[in-house]
Amino acid sequence: MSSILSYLFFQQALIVAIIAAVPCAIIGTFVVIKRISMISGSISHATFGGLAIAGYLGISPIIGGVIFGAFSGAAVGVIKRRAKNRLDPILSFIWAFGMAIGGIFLYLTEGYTQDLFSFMFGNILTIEFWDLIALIILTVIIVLVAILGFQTIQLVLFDEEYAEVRNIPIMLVNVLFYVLVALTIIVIVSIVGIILLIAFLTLPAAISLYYQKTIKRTMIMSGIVLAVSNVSGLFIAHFIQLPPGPVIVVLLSILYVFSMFYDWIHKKLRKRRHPIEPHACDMELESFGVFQNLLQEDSIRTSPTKSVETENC
Amino acid sequence: MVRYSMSTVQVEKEKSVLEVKDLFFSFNNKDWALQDVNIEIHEGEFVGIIGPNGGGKTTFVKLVLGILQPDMGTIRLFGQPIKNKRREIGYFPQIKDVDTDFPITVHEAIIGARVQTKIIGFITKKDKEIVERVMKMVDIYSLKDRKLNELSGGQRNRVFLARALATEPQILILDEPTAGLDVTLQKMFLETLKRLSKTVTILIVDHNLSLLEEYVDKFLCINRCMAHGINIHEVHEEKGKRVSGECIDE
Repeated sequence: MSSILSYLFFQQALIVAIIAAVPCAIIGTFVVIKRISMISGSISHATFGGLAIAGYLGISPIIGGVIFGAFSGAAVGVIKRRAKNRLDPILSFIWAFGMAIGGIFLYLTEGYTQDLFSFMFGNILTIEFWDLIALIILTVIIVLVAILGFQTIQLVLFDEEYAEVRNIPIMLVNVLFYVLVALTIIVIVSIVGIILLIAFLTLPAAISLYYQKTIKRTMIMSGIVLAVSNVSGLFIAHFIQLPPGPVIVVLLSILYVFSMFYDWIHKKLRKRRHPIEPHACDMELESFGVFQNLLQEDSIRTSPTKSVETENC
Repeated sequence: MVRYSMSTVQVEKEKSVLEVKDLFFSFNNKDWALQDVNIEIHEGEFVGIIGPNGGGKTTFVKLVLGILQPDMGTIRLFGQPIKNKRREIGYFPQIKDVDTDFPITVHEAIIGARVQTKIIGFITKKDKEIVERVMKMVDIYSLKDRKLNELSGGQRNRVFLARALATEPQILILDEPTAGLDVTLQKMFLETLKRLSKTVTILIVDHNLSLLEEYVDKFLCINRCMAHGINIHEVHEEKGKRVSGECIDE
């Protein structure tokens, strides 16, 4: 094990594996609880177009991905607000268009068959130094914005209508959120590629939601689950000579299935150990207290009836 | 066309809180969901909004909240366009429209009411104190760390009432807040509102006319083409007959 750790490429891969867990945990938790995997899938496939164009132009794929991803993320944010009922076909369009552009530019790029596998399934072991720096900067931006805007993003995702009544700039928050999703996708693509990234974004949060009650705790647990899976996956992949991206996703999938069964068994056991109390149906009556307390504070006003007219249409 | 203004029959001139003039609204540009609505609501009034299903009660509420935009006419809140003053509204939405499975605690849900209008905003110490006070007021402080989907219907209603109150509103707008509660709890809830109406103007949408009549100062009947006030005596006298189309159908 020590021999592999002495290689710079493996050290860089470990750093990426750990730092990528942070934005994935934060944004992925929002994606899971809002059930917007389809939207994230659409943005990720649109990002593929940017990555391929960057590859064709010979510039860093991260730059192409950031530009294309941010644009498609912003577009989704606007469309989601404006065309609620037509969202599904529009997402399919963005999904397919990004893939088509990606396919064309990948074909035009020399040696595309080798790149194709990296794009589709990622290759964390081939990340270069400057890409690593770019990923770190990107991660810091995502985490800072997500932490500073947490209360607002949470309110908009929980109850958009109420947030609108509170004069929160819904459109701007939506655009910002989907741009953050797009930037997170760029960070993940280098590890697992386009096809598997949705698993990265959703599985850690889905696993954590079986054990945690609040968003913040879910985010923390997701980060730990993903970081551990990434690092373990890297080592396992090295020893059994397989690509790390798919290995990490298989590990996450095993954890997810385990958590599902754990939750199922836990609920069954709890029912057996703590059968429902015979008087549990009286629980609602506790509400009486509050209202009566409020009423006792002073008497209820009995307003005189205000006279108004009635007229038919 | 209906031309009706509650203000015309007010004995004393009271401060206008909500003024709706010549309001028309359509979802499909073919039929009016609401037409020619003229309403004025004054400070301290407790108004019950009634009407049949599909009559436009919730549409009216969403227009007043500025979520929907009228095709014609004006809505003014405290004499100003809605967007300028809607942070003065304490809003209780229809609970069926809220994702109660969202993993959020009671405290987090209520503190959402104190989020500033900026994207990057912080919750201050004062905000936390207000939220704590409101939670104690409606007796949900002990539930503050519970998830919304772990609460009973009555507890959930109190959470949304607390959130509406946490904005320190001048007007409370409640869309079917007693839905899912049994009659006793409905009465308790309405008595609480009655008490609150000493300090805040209240608009409540509810189907249960018989229950509401004990508490509200007046009714506003909304049934697509008509929107007008009915006083409490009329409700008593005309029950079983036709007061306003399908508004009273008992």
